[in-house]
Amino acid sequence: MAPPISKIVYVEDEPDIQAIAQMALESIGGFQVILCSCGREALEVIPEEKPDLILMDVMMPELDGPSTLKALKGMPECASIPIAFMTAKVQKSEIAEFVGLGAIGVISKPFDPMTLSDEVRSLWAKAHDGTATDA
Amino acid sequence: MTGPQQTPEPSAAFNARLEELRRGYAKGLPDEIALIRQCWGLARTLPSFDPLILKPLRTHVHNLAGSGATYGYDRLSRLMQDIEQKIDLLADFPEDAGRIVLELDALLAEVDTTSVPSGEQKNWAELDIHRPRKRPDKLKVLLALAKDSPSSGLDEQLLHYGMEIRVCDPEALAERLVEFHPDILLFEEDAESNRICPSLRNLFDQAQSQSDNDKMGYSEKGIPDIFILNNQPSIATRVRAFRNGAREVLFNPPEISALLAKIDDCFLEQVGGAIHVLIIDDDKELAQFHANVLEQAGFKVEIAHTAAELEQKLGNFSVDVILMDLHMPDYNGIELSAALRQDPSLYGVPIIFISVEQDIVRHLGAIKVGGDDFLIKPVAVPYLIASVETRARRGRELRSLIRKDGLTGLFNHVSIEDSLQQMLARAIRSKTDLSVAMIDLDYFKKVNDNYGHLVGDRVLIDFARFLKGRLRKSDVVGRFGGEEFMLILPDTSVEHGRALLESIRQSFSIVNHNTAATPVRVTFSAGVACHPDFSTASTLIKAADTAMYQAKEQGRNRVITASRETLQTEGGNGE
Repeated sequence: MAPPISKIVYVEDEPDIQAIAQMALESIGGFQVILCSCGREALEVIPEEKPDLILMDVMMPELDGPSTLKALKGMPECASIPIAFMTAKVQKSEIAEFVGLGAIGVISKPFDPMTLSDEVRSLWAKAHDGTATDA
Repeated sequence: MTGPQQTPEPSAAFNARLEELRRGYAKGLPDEIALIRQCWGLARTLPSFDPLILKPLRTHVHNLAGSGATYGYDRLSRLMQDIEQKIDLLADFPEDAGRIVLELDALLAEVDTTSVPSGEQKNWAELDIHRPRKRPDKLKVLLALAKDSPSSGLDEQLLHYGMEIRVCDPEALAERLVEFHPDILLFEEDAESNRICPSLRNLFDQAQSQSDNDKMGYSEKGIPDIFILNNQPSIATRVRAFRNGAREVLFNPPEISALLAKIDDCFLEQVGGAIHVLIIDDDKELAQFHANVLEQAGFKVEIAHTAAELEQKLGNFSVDVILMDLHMPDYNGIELSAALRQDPSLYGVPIIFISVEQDIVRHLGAIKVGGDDFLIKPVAVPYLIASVETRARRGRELRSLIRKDGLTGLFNHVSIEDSLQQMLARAIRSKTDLSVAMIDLDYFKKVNDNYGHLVGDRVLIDFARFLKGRLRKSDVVGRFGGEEFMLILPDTSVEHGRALLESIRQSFSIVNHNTAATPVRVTFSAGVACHPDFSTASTLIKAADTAMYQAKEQGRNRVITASRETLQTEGGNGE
């Protein structure tokens, strides 16, 4: 059984989405949520906060999601933190590409705020089932 | 070990905060949309569409696509997703820019600044049931048939047309509706056992109660168009069906081609983007006013103030309708339209005159030389828009009839050759494969001789539908003449083309075209040729045609591919 998630770092540049996702994750999911508004900020915050899970937008100005992921995977203290992407254009090939990079999965935008936390949990559970020995 | 984490019910405070966020989002939305319109207004006239220049626009669109439905604006999200896709196409396919720009114009015109969250619209009374929808790639059809139904072979038949079919017992309808989400429902009624099709409302409620667990609710997926099969349809049956929300009552068992045509009518034909209007008026202010009005209504407008400007505009603007002032300094409208009517490229383009002229005799003169409508200044705005729109649509239909084969609705000989030229040019530029297939029905003359022309025509129509059902959207199919058809398959190697034709050949050969006692089955022979093996339209057609004749010689009912030698043995490769 997967351990519970308590702390999530959420990287998203769109304020509208940031607000509603944070609320959904905190109020409905009961998670502690730390917001980052760009990839650079995430690279500073994540090594300090050491969250259980990272949720990250794919399309961001400057450092986009996949580049941020690669940078994180290169930091020993962050390399093992599971990362899930959130994106508006989900095609099978893209999911495969992101998973190939090391993401645990993709949550498609637009999301339903009522079920976002469930989606996060099921991705988390799936990642732990598949890699039980790593956990 | 921890148990699964439970999602708590959202609290009142949460809901209030959510509502607040939604209000904030709604408040900012008109500005966001205006910004996107503005970005597009600046971008749309650019000579080339560099992804870098489109990036700010694309970012705004992408953001709205990603956030809209989260705040309840489902339709907005979908529109923005479509728009984003088109913007990407614009950068990728500069040769199609003209068309894509118009499609973008049309999509943006659909974005409603005052749009309300779709959640608030989920109201039975507002479900617009017979509004034409876009045809899905794979049509889902549910057949609710009794045991020993006279229509029991229908699923087999429909399957051949690329549809996904389920058959269920009429009693189990509600569950199957929820599981399968069909686009079309055929319900078999039975007068003896008093089984009639439930009303749409009733079905909807049943389906919704079945799908309680499904949070998105049944209405999200749309409700199917319903056809009722009845052994003895009467006026009373039809009226009841109409009241209950069914689309039509058909005789049981239905005739397959009639049924397919009815199904087709449920869906929108893809319309070719915004309507192009050319305004010819020496009064600059009035022309500009009319242009503004029409542009706001989503049309694309060009203005010519003089005959010289007119010639130049016609050169690079494909016109749907011409709006012309009757009185101009150099030529009057009647003279000008007489001249325009001699240009074959303007065939079928409606001309609407605008004038202060009240004199009926002059109107007649204008109509005689080819004016289609006559508006008197000042023209009321709604009337102007309606008049331009109806004329333009009719003109488009007319021109499409000219391009299409009357019997099968496929492209005719001339237009499919035009399409091949364009698609080949694109394949050469993008260094991709392109296959051309020539298909000829075997022993078709015998069908006409033995069963009559009606059955022969039905075979041709069936084959046209069959092909359309099996091909991708990007493929083009035309009737080359008689019982000969031509397919253009972009991005398809000769091996893939052959495999596709082979599978079509096999499945088409088992379709029965005759509902009467004797089954009628028809096979075809086909030849496939491919770019880059052949590099011009004429050699591609010639090679495919030669291969098709080889298939005939080798005993028919087969597919042969053309190699470079195919034409050499015919004497020269024709390059």
